[in-house]
Amino acid sequence: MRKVHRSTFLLAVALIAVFSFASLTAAQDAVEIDFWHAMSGGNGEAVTALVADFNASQSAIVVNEQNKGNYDETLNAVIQASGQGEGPNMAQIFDLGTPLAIDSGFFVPVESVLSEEQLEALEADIVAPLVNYFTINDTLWSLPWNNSTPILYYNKDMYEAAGLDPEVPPATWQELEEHCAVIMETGAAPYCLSSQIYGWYFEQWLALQGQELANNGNGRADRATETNLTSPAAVAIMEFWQRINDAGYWTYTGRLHDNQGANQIFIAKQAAIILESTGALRTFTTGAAESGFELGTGFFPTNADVERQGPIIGGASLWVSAGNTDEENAAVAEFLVWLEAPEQMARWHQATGYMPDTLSSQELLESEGYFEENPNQRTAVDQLNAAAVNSATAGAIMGPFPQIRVIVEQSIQAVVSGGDITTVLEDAKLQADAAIADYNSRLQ
Amino acid sequence: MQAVFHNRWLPFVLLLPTLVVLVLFLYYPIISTFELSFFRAAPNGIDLTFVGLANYQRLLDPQIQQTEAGTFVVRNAYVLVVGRSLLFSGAIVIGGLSASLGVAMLANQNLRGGRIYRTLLIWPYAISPAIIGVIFLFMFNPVVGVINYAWNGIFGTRPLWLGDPILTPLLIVIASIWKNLGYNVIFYLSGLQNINTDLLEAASIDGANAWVRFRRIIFPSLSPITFFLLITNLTYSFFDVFGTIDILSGPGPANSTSVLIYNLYRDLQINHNTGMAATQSVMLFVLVAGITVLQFRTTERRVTYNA
Repeated sequence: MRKVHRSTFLLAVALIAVFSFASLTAAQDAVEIDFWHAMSGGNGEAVTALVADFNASQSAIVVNEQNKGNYDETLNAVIQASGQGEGPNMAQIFDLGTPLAIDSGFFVPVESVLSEEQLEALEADIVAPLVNYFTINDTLWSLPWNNSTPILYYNKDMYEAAGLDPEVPPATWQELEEHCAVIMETGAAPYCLSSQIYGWYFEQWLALQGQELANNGNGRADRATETNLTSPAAVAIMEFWQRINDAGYWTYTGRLHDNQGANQIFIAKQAAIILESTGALRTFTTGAAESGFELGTGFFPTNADVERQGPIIGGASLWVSAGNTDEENAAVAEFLVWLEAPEQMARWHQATGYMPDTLSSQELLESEGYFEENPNQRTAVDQLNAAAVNSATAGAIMGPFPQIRVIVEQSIQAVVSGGDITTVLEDAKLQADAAIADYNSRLQ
Repeated sequence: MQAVFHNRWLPFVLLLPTLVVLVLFLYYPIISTFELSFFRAAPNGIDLTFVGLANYQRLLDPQIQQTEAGTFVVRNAYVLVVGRSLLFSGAIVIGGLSASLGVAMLANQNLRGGRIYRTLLIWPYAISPAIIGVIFLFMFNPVVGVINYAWNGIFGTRPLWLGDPILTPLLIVIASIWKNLGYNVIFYLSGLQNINTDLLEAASIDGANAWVRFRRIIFPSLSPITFFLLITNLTYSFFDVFGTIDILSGPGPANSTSVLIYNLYRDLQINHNTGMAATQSVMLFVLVAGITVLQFRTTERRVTYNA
């Protein structure tokens, strides 16, 4: 017994020595890249698996991925660490963090670390509205990675019960209201529409009507100084929300941006339609199967009085640190190009539900028959590919965007609680413009 | 009793670990916060400009404006936040202590299974405020939540608990009281069990009814515990309500649940305004320290020790 112990022990020591020597020599040759991201749960596992495969596929680069909490927490961690010179080589930053990332001075445009051929190939492959969003002042600042748009989900069984065509979801506000009238009259569902009060939807509806949210080309030609919260397009959105509220079609939990509460209402068959991100498709597919109803999807409905422009993309992109050596930048570029390659992008989409961001990955999925098996996945891709490319659909760049989104959400709540639309929007504009002025005044 | 050290440096060496922890994790951050409150910080939090007392001035200037109708309104949101915080705190402390004392009195009776009740009462304290937020969020969903299922059955309406400027803050107060109930009940129970029963019996024989016995004997005997709980609940109501608010209501309808600690967090983490957040931190510190000192000066005089 004792002998066995000793020999096992010696074997272990020998193995440890060999392995640590091997890893030591590997670490000496390889460039180490620290990559901080905001993906946790299933999405976090998908990141870990991708990075492990990249590290195994070659020996020159070792990527160390690390989750730093949610989007806000990751952004704060990156900014604070970079200020101390301890930041990562690359980071995932969410859409609204874009102006802060640029203004912080801790990042370089991603196009500056890519070779000309790499940049050209990527810009041709990535879907145009995505390139549009992350290009500010003609500079591609970051590389889109995990992105989504909102779509409409509906309960086909309820449509049938109401005598509506279950294959035709409403494409406009006006059609939505017509369908709701029928659904409520026939008692097919207690409520017609479940939707959280979410500033993102308001922003989508401005873009879908071709209206910029901020001045100076949505803050992209020059720094934004003012919001367009009192524009006719904004008034139209508020009037729509007021109408569906007053008619009793729409319900929500009372808490702002409460996606889970809204989802529970839809999955529990208390509403026929819900507005949600494409990222929720898997939640609804599972939920519908468990509750026993057939799920349908359609484009995010918009104002029929104005020609449909297109949704704004949401989600996050990958940023490159300003503190990297040339060697590190080359390694980051190689990793980024690998992530955007069709196999990785298609796999990323299937694992997480985020958009397949590149045309090549969409073709790959198509050739594998994926969209035929998952028709609901196609809705989001079609909606994004159909989007017009202009400064309104590119989305706004404003320093205090997170703050302004909450101001907008509170305004919607004020309107559905009986507030006067003009007064509420004027007050919202006052607050939002003050927030922009404060942010701009604090830049050095 | 006085300890004797043969080496005059030994006590300092022994104190060193504690001092290092205090200086690194308490004193240094506090002093940095005070310092930062005199600066305007760029959104990246690194580039600072000295502005003297400008941050304080901005927080405290009420910005009173006359409306077209001739009435005056306070346009400074922070003044409203301070007022709201005081209301929240008052409600949570007074409501919390009254409810706890009542529950403790009931649980203190000689009942079959009394110990089981007492144990169960302490449970809510073991749950973190964030989890309470999530539980309440499920319960108070107006369409599929259990509360409105019952409410609709009895009253035929479905109140919007999380979207009403009066109901939502009320809900936060109730959730906060419920969460701290267990903690307060433990202290009151131990206090009640230490009351001299001879005194109560004597009073009963002299013809004192239950109210008089409570008013003249029980309540004064509990006064040291009440005073202690007053201070701890005050701190709780100003700081620890954050988790519940953040998950349950956020800023709330018309900002109705935006209290000092929540406002400060948003200015720091969402609005990236480090200077103003530091200033609010100092204001919160001064306010809570001020109220505590005031209580030691006024309320403690009425406390009877060793009754």
